[in-house]
Amino acid sequence: MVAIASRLAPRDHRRAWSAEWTAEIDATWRRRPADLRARLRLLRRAMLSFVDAVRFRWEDRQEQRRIQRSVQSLPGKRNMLSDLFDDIRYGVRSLVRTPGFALVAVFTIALGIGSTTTIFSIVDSIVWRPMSYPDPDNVVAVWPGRSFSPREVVRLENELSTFSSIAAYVEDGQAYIREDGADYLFGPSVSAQFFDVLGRQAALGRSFRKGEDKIGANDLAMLSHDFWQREFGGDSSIIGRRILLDKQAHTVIGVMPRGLDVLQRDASFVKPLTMSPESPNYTGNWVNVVGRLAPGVTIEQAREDLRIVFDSWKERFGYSETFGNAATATITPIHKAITENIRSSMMLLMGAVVLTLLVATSNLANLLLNRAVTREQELAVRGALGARPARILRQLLTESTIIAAAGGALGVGLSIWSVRAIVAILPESTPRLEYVTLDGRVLLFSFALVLITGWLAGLFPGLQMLRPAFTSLHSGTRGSSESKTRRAFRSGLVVTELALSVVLLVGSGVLLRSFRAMNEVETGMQPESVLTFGLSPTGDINAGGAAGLNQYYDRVLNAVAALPGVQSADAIHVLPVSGGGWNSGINVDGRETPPGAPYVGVWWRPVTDGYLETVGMHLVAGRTLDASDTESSPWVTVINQAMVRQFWPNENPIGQRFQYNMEGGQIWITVVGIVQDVTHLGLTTTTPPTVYRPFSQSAARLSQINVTSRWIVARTTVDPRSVMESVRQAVAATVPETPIINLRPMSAVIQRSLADPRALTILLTLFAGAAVVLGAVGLYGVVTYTVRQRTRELGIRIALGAKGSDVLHSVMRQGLAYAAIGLPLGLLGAWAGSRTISQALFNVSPTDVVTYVSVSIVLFVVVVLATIAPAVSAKRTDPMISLRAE
Amino acid sequence: MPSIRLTYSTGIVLQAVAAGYRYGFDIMDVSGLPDGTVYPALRRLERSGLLESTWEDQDLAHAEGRPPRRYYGITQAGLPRLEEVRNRFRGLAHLIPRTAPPPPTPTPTPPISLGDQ
Repeated sequence: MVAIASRLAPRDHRRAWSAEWTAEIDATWRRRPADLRARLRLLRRAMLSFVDAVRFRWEDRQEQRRIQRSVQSLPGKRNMLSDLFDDIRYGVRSLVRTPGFALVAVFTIALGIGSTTTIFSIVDSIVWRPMSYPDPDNVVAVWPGRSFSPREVVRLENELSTFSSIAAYVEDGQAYIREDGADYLFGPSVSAQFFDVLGRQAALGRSFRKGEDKIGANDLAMLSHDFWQREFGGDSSIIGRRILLDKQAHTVIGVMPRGLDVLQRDASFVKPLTMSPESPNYTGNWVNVVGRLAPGVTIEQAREDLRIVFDSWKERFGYSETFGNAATATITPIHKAITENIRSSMMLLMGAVVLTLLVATSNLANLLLNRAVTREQELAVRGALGARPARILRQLLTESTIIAAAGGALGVGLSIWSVRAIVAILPESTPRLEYVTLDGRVLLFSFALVLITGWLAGLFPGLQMLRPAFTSLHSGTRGSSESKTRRAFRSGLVVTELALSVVLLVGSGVLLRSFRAMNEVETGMQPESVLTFGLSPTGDINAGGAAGLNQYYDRVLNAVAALPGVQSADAIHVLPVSGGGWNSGINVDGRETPPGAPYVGVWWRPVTDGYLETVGMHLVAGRTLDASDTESSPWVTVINQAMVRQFWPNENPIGQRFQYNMEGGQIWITVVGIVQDVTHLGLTTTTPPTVYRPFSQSAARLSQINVTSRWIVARTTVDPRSVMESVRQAVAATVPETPIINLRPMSAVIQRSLADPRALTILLTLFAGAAVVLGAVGLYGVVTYTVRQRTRELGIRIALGAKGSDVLHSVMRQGLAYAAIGLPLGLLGAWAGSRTISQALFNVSPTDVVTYVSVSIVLFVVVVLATIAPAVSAKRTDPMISLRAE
Repeated sequence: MPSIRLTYSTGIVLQAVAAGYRYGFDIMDVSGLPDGTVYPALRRLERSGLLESTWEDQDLAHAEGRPPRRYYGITQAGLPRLEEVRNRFRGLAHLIPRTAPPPPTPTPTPPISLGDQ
C-alpha cells in the first residue's frame, strides 16, 4: 500500500518517504498488535500514507516556490539594491584588473571636470553672481568712466527724477593711526546717500544720514565687518568711539554687514566725502556716480532722463555740444559696469574649458569603447549564459559611472586647489576677486556633470556593444571585424578631439604672441634698477601750502637719496604704466579753438626736476626741468611726442606757449623740452599728450585741491630689492606718521600691469596643453586598437613578403589621415571663432599666419609621436603568432 | 532556514521528541494528536532546523530482518524553542511521560576470537 502511495509523494523525496513509512508499519506489525483495535489502527495509518503523500507533495511544491522566489529577481527595492551592489563590485573588480585603463580614464575625467569646476566657480563668482544688494539690477553706474564733480552730483540729485537715490563715491585710502604705528588702509569716500543706493544699511549702529557729507558734519566713519573683527575684536562698544584717520578724529557710527561690496577692494572703512560748495575741489571732476533707479523705472527711461538733464546743462552752464550725448552718457547696471573689462576674458576661459571638457569626454568615450570591445568575448559569454541585454548595459553604465565618480571626486579636489592658485595669479585689480569661492551650486553642477559624463560616455559604447555581443559568440570568430558604424564613430571621436585641440592651440598661440608683444612694448623709460613707493601724508601737511608740501617731500627724497646703493630719488604725482591721473584742455597761444571742437585731454604729470633722468626718460629736444625752475620763475614744461603730434605737427614746439585749464588756465606755460612717449596709461594704451611740470610750480594747485600724495622713484646702483628694507626704515625715520605704500621695483609695477593678459595666457595655454595630451592619448588608443584588430591581416601581409617599413607606413598613414581631417577642421573652427579672442590681443591678428603654421607643425609632431609606438609594434608582428591568434 | 511559528501540535511533537519518542509512529501513539498531523509537523520542524533525522544502522536492522527506521532528535537550535513552547503551553511537559525507551545505539561487534589456542 505504501508502495502505491509513494507514487503520490514528491519525486525527490519518494524513496526516503516510502522507506520511512514502510519501516514504521513493519516495526509496528512486528510487535504483533494484540487486539483488533490496534490492528485496525495500523491499517488506518497505512491508508493515511496516501493522504500524507499528497500532503507532502503539496508541501514540497510550496517549498519549491519559496526558494524560487528568493532566487529570482523580483521588482522590489531589495533586489534592485543588491543588483546595484553586485554591479558596483563587479565594475570595481574589472577596473582593478586593468589599472592602466582605469588610471588614464580617471585622470582624463579629473582633468575635464576639475578644470570646468574651477573656471565655472571663478566666472560665476565674478561675472554671474548678482551683487548682494536688494534688487541689484536697479543699482546703476551713471556714465561709468567719467568723473563728475561734487557740484554736478548735487545737481543730478536735484534734477533727475527717475532715481530714488544718487551718490558719489571715490576709491580712497587713509593712514589709520594706532599707538604703535600707522597702516595705510583702503576704503571709499562716499556721499550721504551711498548706502541708500546700495540698499543695505549698517549691521551695527547706523549709516550716514543726509547732510553728513557737508563740512563740519562729516568727521564720521563706518567700519567694514572684517576690519571691526580684526582691529576691535567685534566689540560692539566701538560705536561712538573715535578713530584717527589721516590724523583726524572720526566717530565710528556703524559697522557694515559682512561681505558688503562697497565698490572698492579690501575696504576697511567708508568715510563721507565733502560735498559742500566751500570745499576746494567742489568743481573738479574726480568722483564717480552711482544711483538706484526708482521702482518700476527702466534703464531706458533713466537714460532719457539723463540726456534731458545734460541737454539743459549745455544751455544753462555752457557745456560743449558733445557733452553727454547718446554715445557717451550711459547708464549701466553696476555689476556690468564693474565686470565689463573682465567679461570677455572670462567668457574666453569658459569657452576654452568647455572645449577641453569635450575633448576629455570624447577621450573617455573612446577609452570605454576600446575596453568594451576587448571584453567582447566576456560579454558574449555572459549573454549566452542568460544575462539580459539590459543587465549588461546597466553593468557597462555602472562601470563608466564609477570611473566618472572617481574622476569627479579627484577633479573636485583638484579644483579646490586650483581655484586658490588661479586667484593668486589673477591681477589684483580683478573685480570681485575676494568673493571667489567654490560654492555649493558649483559642486552640484560638477556632480551633475559627472553623472552625465558617465552616462553619455558609457551609453554609446554600451549601445554599440550590444549587437555584436551575441553574434560574435555564434559566429565563432573573435569579433575581429569591426562594424563600419563603430569604426566611423571612433574615428569621428578622434578627429573631433584633434580638431578641438587645434582650436585651443591656436587660441593659446595667438595669446602667447600677443603677450610677448606686450612685454616688448617700449615703455619710454629704463625701469631696471628703479625702486618705487607711494606716500599719502595726512591733510595737515597741507596747512603749509605748496611750500609745506614741497618741503615735506624734499626731506623724504633727501633721506632716500642719501642711502648707500641709491643714486638719486625723485617724485611724480602718479606712477607711470599704472594709469590714473588727471587731464584737462589747453589753450594754445595764437590759436582759436573752434566751438564744438572735440575735447583733447592733456595729461598732467607734476614731477621733481630730476625725475626725467631718474627714470631714464629720453630727451628728444630742448632741456629737462632743473633747479632753476622755481615757483617764482616763468612757468615751464617738458612735453611728450604725442603732444607735439597733436598740437605742433609741423612746427617746432620749443618756445611755444599755452594756458592749461588744469592749473587755472591763466598763466602761460612755455615748452622747454620734448621727451619720448612713456606708456603712462598702460602698456597697450596709446600714450596721450602729456605735460611734465615741476612740483615747485604745480604744488600750489595740488595744495589747493588738497592732493598730498606723491610717488617716489629711486634709481639704485644695486638690485632695487636689496635696498627695500633700508628705504623703508629711512622713510619711517623721516616721516613716521605716514605709512609707506606699495614699496616695490618699477619692473614689478610694469609686470603687474600685465597681470591680466598673463593670467589669461597661462590658463589658455594650460588648457591647450591638456587638450593636446588628451588628443594624443586618444589617437594612440585608437591606432593601437586598430593595429590589434588588424593583427591577422598584418601577419598575412608580412608572411607574403611585405617589408616591415611598409607596415610601419601603413599604420602611420592611418594616424596622419586623422590629422589630415582634424587639422583643417580645427583651423577652420579657430578662424570662425577668431572674433571672440581678438579683444584680448595686442598687435597680433587672431588669424595670425605664424601661429596657424606653428600649430600645424605641433599637431603633426604630436600625431607622429602618438602613432609611432603602435606602428613599430605592428612592424614587429610575428606572422606565425598573429595567424594563430584567434 | 525559514523560522517556524510554533503551534500546539508542533509544540507537542517537539516535546515528544525531546522526551525521547523518536520514531514517527511512536510520536503518533504518545502525542494524542490526529495521526495525519504528526508527519507534516515533523517535516516542518525539520525544515526549520529544530529537529534532525537519521536512519538506523542498516546492518543492525537487516540483522533483525527489518528495514531501518528513521528517527528524529532535537537540535541545538531546537532547545530554546522547546523552552519557549513549554512556557507557552504549561501543561505540555506533563502530557508526555518520560519513559520512552532510548533509541538503539549500535553495539560494537565483538572481535572475532580465534578460539583458544
